[in-house]
Amino acid sequence: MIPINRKIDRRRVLRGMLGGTAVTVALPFLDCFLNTNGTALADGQALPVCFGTWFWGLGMNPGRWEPPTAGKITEFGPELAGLTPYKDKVNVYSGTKVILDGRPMITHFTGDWAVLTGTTPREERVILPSVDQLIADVIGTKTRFRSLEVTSTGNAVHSYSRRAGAAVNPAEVSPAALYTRIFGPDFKDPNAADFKPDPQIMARQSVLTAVMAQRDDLSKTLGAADKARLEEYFTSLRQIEQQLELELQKPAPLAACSSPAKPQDMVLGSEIESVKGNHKLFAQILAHALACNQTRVINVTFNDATSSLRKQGSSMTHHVYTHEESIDPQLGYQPNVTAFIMNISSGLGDMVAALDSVKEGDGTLLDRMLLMASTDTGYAKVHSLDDIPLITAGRAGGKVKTGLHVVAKGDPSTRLGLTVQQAVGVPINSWGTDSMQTSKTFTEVMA
Amino acid sequence: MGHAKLPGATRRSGAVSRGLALGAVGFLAAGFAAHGAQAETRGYAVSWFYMAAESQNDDCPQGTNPLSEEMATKYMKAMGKSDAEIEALKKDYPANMYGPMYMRGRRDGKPVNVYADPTSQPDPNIKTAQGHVAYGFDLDGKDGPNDFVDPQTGAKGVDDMLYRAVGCFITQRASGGQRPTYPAIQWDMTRDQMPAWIIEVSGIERDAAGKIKDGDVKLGIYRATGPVTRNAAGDPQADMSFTVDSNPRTQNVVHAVMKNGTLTTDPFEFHMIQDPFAVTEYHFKKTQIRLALNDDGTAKGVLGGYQPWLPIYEGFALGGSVNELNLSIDAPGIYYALKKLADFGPDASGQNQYISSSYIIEAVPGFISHPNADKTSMVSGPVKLAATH
Amino acid sequence: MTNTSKPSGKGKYLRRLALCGAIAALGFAGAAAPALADGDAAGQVAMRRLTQDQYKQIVMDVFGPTVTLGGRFEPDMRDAGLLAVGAAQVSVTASGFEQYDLMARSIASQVVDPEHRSLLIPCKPASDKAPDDACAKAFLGKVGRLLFRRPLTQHELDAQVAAANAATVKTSDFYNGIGLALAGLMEAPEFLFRQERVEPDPDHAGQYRLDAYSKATRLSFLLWNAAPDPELLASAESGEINTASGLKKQVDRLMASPRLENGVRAFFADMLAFDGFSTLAKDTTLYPKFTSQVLRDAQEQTMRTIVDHVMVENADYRDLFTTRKTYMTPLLASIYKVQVQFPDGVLNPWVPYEYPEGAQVAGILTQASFVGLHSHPGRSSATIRGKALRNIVLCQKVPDPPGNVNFNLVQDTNNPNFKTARQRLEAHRTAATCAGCHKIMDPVGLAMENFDTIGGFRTTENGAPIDASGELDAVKFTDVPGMGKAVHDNASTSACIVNRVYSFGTGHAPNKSESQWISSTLATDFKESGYKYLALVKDIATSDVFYRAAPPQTGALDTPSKLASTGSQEVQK
Repeated sequence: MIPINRKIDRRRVLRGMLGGTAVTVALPFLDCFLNTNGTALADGQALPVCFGTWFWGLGMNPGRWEPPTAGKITEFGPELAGLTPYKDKVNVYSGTKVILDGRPMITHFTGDWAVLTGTTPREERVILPSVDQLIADVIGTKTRFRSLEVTSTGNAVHSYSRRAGAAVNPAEVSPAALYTRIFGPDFKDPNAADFKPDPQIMARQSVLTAVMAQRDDLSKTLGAADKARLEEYFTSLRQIEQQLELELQKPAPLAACSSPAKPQDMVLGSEIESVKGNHKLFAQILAHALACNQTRVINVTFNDATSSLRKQGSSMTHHVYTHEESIDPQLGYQPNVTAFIMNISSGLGDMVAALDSVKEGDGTLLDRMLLMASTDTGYAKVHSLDDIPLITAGRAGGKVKTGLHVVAKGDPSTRLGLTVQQAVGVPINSWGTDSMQTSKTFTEVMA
Repeated sequence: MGHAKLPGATRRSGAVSRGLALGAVGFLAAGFAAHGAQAETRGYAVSWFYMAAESQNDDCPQGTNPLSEEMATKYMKAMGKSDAEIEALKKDYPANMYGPMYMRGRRDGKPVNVYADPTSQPDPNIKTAQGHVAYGFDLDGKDGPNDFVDPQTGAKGVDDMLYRAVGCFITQRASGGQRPTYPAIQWDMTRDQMPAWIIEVSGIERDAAGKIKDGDVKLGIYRATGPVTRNAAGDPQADMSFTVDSNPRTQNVVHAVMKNGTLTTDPFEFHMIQDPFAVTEYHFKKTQIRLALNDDGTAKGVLGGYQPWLPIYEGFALGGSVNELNLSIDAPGIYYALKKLADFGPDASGQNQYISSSYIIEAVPGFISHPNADKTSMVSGPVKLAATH
Repeated sequence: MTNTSKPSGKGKYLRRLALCGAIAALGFAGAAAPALADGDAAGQVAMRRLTQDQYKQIVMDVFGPTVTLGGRFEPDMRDAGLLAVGAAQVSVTASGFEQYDLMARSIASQVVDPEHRSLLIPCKPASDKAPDDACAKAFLGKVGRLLFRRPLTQHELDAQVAAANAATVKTSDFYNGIGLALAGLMEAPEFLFRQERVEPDPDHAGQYRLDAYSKATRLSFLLWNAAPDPELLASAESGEINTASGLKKQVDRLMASPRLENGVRAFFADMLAFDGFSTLAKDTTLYPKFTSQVLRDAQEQTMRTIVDHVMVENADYRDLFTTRKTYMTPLLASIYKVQVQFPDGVLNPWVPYEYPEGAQVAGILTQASFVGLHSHPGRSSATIRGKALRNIVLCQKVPDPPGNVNFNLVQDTNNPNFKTARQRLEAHRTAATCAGCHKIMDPVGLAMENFDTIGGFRTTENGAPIDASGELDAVKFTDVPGMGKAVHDNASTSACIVNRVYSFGTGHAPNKSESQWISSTLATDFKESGYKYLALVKDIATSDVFYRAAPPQTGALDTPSKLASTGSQEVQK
């Protein structure tokens, strides 16, 4: 971490950003924000800002999730009731949409990736990295894990995080496995009194260096596309090298860091009760991982876009219900679909609760976190790309004001992607392509 | 390749070919409409077999037999242990009680294994069932004061002295189609290892609507060569294929009459092998079975008859004090009760050796082959690689 | 992809296809495309990430079956119908690298442990605690050749030995040092990716071909789904594989090996999308028969059916969609509700089984591996099955449903209980926006409705009788055997497999020149062989086109070879 530098005027920089000026600054700039916010450790080092995406599939019912009025949130629509305890710590963004620009609407694919990558895919393939990875490139380079991906559905492919190129970052499906990966034998407790560098790690470093040395030889024999793939491979290799380097250094103590309880092996699958249970465990482990500075970027999938959620004993998945269930004339919505939505909303509440439960100084981990919750569709019954529900939780270390309902009438949903990137310090002033390109952040929420 | 031409399709026409008795399942009913005249054979695997109970609120007027801790305390007192000693034994109950309970019998003042020698302790006079509702059959043609009324059929004169003997242990009691705990455990613990019991009903005829016609049928109950397989819910998998074990001790074939979809057999002698944990080898006399063939392909019914009572005791006693203390039964008490309530087959001394008893049978659909049938399908092993391509 | 001429009389259907945007992947044998000389066709080279199965196979081949894998793999990606093609587009993510690192170190530590080292390491160091150049070189050179599928260059080998020595010094443990170096080899891109290299083709001036090692590798993965064995590497090293007779000798040897079955299984598992089984779930409250054993048996049933059909019987590939012959386990027989006699005392026995004539089956299409894999967790889906049949068996792409479709149009709230799938889908298909695609998926999918979501046979749904009639490309049928026959007779069925096998081998969807060669030459040969799968594979494996490469974009062709032993050159693709 960089020591506090109060000579840079945070406000001035912000004004620059909001005015749409190109803001190109290096990393230390980010740290200056954090420190002026006053959340700092005893030794003067600031606690870092963290970011997460939280994905759920199949949207919500139009008119039933948004707070009734714009501006300060006094109440939520019934389908966001799970967030009520945190109404001062979240923002709701309604009215944004995904614009197709004449491209095919690939159901349960176009919407999710357009929100997360800023580009409407032309075919069932995504070429640009998702927003969490853009952010991880900036804030995730100094931790053991650049980012951590999990899914509660039991299927590793249900991940909504990817680097440039073809494949998703595979998600961890088992809370027990995630626990071992983070808090298992390789965990270096930042609060431990003694520290001895492990010679085996030094030995591994020398071997990886030999692999890395092949890079130039290999790469000059390749065409552009394969060269890019090889570059991604070496980026991944570098992360492991970095991880080893960190394991050789004594970590800075973190008062709020503790290992969570080791979870039992759980039943994995898309049945709603196991999804909720596993998600809750993931939320706990990830909150501890963030508090212990093991990672600064997390990605959570509650359910996949073509939602495979189901109730035990029912032949219908959430997705099938969205298309086949009739609207109850009394209620005005699809009752079974809505039951799944309520579970999703309480799942988001569980995630926010886990982040808010880690006390740090006068505040909580949520204060230096920014969690962006998004989905693939507005109204799933008709595969609508209008009015896609978007939510953020946390203040990004003071960069984001909360408790607000932002109404964006027909603007591209990329406005949120740009907002969160700027909030955590990614030096860009415009994001997205074609009609999804925007240089407008949600200024209402920028502190 | 030895591809067996098994008549999977012919079962739809109801024909039986090459000695393969073909089980059919509920959904095939529609297929029979066009061939109403032909006889159908249905196969089943027994999923449950356990002592019947339809316990009534008032059939143990003095209450049920005590729970195991109270029973053990009583026995320890009788053995002369002090209150302090008994309290010590009850620590981590029942862990420390197994040993003393085991050796609670006395012969010539010396401790003996009470389960091997049940009369080495005095008759505890367990409470027995006093009610008048029980499943089963009128085995002796008389309606005596100890007889029951069957809750399903309303038949009077039902003989089931086994229920009288054990019906006031809470783990032997059940009502409303529930399975009594102890007998259910006895079956559940043995069925994974023991060869399956299989049932074959032949000569079934259906009317144009697919409903089973009243008339004569044949019931076969056999043991298979392999056990049942459990499904994801832990119950026996339906529609499995079974082969009949040719052991004559497990062959039972009897005439039965079908009425309203339920068959009732003539009286017969029933032989079957189970497991020492329940009854090693059943041998019922004057047996009758009624079995309802349900539309969903399952079957459920009652078996009643006289069986030797000593093997029943042995089944209870085999688990020794572990069973007594965990399932609240009194094994020697059951010995005395069975002996007193036995109602058939006196020996030279006049002591009856058999006791009337009723068991519930539950079954899932299955396919049954007889051992003399076409075995060409039994070529097994990995796929061969052709010599040339 | 090209869409060559189709027989006339199907215009109405084709218009529907066009409306839907579906693409018929290929023409079929005998199409009027002008025949090209082989020399004109050439595809691109690929850099393919090893699939999970390939990685496992190589570890078993190189280190033996007692070495176990820890860790998990990155998800493979499917493109142009195959993971084998997707493999040429994926890279290694950070969390994926973490797993490769874990696996490599776990494997390496087993290889050098006291139990294995005497078998797997060809030498003993002078001291267990100090570097030993000669022994490290011997071991890493030997194993590196197998892992990289070519000899290590001097530079590479020196770097590996240096790394092993450095690690040995840091931990004072020779075996730990070479173990970590081995892990490094297994994390190297040269191992994890099959990177193909090309060289000028001496027989065709101005054209290019794979170099000998890349050729051996492509051949080995096509036939065995495994890395080249030492004999094949030797054939590459000597250059023998570059002669027609040398290539034929190797193809014959590989095809006579029992390991050919691995290759057949790998191809069909890929084509039939069996990777979907790893996450397939069914609602066991509704379908208690569905257990993890059923899941395994279902895949193995289809594999056995295929291996028996295309290898043992060497029968017409198309008959896979009509055959009544298969294999059963006790659990599968209970799912299909058929009677089978199994041998006593054999755990989970496999028994050959033939359905009787007239049975309601359509070869592998009505096996649980197809109807079960392409269903919802709790119910069947004629649409998913119809789409899968089009995508997988006929190589046709069915687009996704359009956005903003109001399903209220097809939801009559006054009549909410459509009992059968046919009734429910009828409603979909009468809505104009849905009709185009549903009309090409549902009529064929509905023929499989006699099979529930786990493949169980049924004649009714919710008490209503199931009507299994349907239509495929204007061919009407009344039941599922009729559907199987229609698939068998469909020109796309044979065209599809030719295309897929070729793509499986090359790692890319055929380009225009390749497609023309495939439809004019390969497809014709396939037809003339009587649609024999092995004949097709052999035809590809012995063809020039399969090993030919498009000219490199830019080149370092005048760079002296780094692989001194073969004289092959590394060029840009």
